Amino acid sequence: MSLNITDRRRINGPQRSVEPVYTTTSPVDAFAAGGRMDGRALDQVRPIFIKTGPLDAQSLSAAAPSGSAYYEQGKIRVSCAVYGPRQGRKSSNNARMGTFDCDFKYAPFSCSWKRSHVKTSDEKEIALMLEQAVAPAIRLDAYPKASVDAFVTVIESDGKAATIAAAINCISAALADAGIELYDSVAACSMSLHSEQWVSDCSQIEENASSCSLLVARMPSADEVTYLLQHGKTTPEQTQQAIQTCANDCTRVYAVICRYLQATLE
Amino acid sequence: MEIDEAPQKVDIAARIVTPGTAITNDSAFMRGHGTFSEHDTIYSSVAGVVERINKLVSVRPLKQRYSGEIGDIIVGRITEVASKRWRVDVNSRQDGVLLLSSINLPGGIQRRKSESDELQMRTFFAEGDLVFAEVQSYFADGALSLHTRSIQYGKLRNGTLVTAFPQLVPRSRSHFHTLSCGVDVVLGVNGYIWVSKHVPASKVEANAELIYSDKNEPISDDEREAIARVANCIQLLNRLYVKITDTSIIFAYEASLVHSVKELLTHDVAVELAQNVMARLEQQA
Repeated sequence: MSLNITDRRRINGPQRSVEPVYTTTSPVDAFAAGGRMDGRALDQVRPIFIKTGPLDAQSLSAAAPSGSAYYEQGKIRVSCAVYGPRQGRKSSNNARMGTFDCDFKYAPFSCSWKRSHVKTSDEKEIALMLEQAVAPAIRLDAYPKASVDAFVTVIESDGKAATIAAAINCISAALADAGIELYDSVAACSMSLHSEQWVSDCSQIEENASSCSLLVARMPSADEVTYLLQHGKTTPEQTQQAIQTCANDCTRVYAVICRYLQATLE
Repeated sequence: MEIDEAPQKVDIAARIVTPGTAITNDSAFMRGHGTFSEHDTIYSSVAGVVERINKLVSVRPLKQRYSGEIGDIIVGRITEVASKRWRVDVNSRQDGVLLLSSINLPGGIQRRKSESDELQMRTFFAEGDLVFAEVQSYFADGALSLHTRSIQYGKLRNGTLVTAFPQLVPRSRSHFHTLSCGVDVVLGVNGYIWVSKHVPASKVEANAELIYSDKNEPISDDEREAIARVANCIQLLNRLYVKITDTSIIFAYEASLVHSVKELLTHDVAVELAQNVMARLEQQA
């Protein structure tokens, strides 16, 4: 008899319950076949697709960004909107220099697990990294009292370091699209160490199998490194070698961005 | 012209460059907008087309924020009421400033500004209001100082705002146009364009209260449609990168009459109309 009395204050489960069906994927070894899973060379970056201005034409109101870009690198998909230069906030006003602020967000569905829709601490950390990597390229002295804001959304991510690199490249393209004065475009590239060998632009599976990851952001024309990030242990020689390889990859990525920007202007 | 005598090894103009591209290392050239120099080499700082005027090298980007010049006629939106001044969003890198002393106070132009005026600043312009103003001067930090000391300037009402690329609105003798379809257009050179119902100037002059009025006048359905049609015409000109002047708006309006208002922004119709307008503009030139 007592079974018929339902508790209306709580959400009741269904009468009958079944065990969920799990897809059983055995952990794959990324480098099992001697080469990489997608058949790339060790120093090869995934193919890149860029489009500037995807968010500009959405609305003609003042809320439309001044520049935007969409960036794909293999499975990674990133979009970025740039606002400004616009009136900066009162408190952080620096009389002579403008400010660059960055906002980074993983979409809830962007990873293999569910991301929180609230901003987590690692997203804030990445936002800070992006700021530090891109700000040196912007001519902030040309924009006194103004602020430039970039909003990055990761639609799909595949490898954490590679996603950050993709975000940097995406911001560069969006800044150029917005017509903001830059010393140079920043191009970024990442690599991971797998059994004493450096592998460029790793996917999530490859990254999981590696012991160390390295990210380099660089202004190729000016030949200046703007950001360097390493996770894991290496010898100084290994790091040196990785920085060199990454720098070369950056130049290649930079060439892709520049070629695209030139093509859009023609 | 000295520069023409100097042998031009490579023509640096009309080249398409991206940020960081070296344009020239010839010290004869001066750097202009969109460039910076380092180690005697001029580099581009924006993605755009290189332009050369005699010795001055500059790069013109596709998109640009509005940078004001004295005497520009602009449309702006009030963002903040501060002490003795309003801050105005003028689509520029910094907000403009409209001083209380540079507006026409109701009840006689020669009236002295009093403390009570300061207290009731929101009755003149409140946050979100659109103003039609002229650039009076610059402040030391490059912010624009505006003024509305003429009967034609002041608060905007009875219409709709259209945002366009600032570089598409050329500076010209007149920025206030009354079209034959009974629509007024205010072309702000900062890219903000106000499209509204035609109100004869004599009516405003006769009643000084109207300058700061927040109330729309009654607008009939036909007038609304005309305003929407003109607004959509301006939007399609902007989208297809055609110069926005009174002539191009009239041409677009005339060509658009065969279509319904909401059709105008569909891609095919917009392209057809824009080509029509460009052909007529060329014919006229």
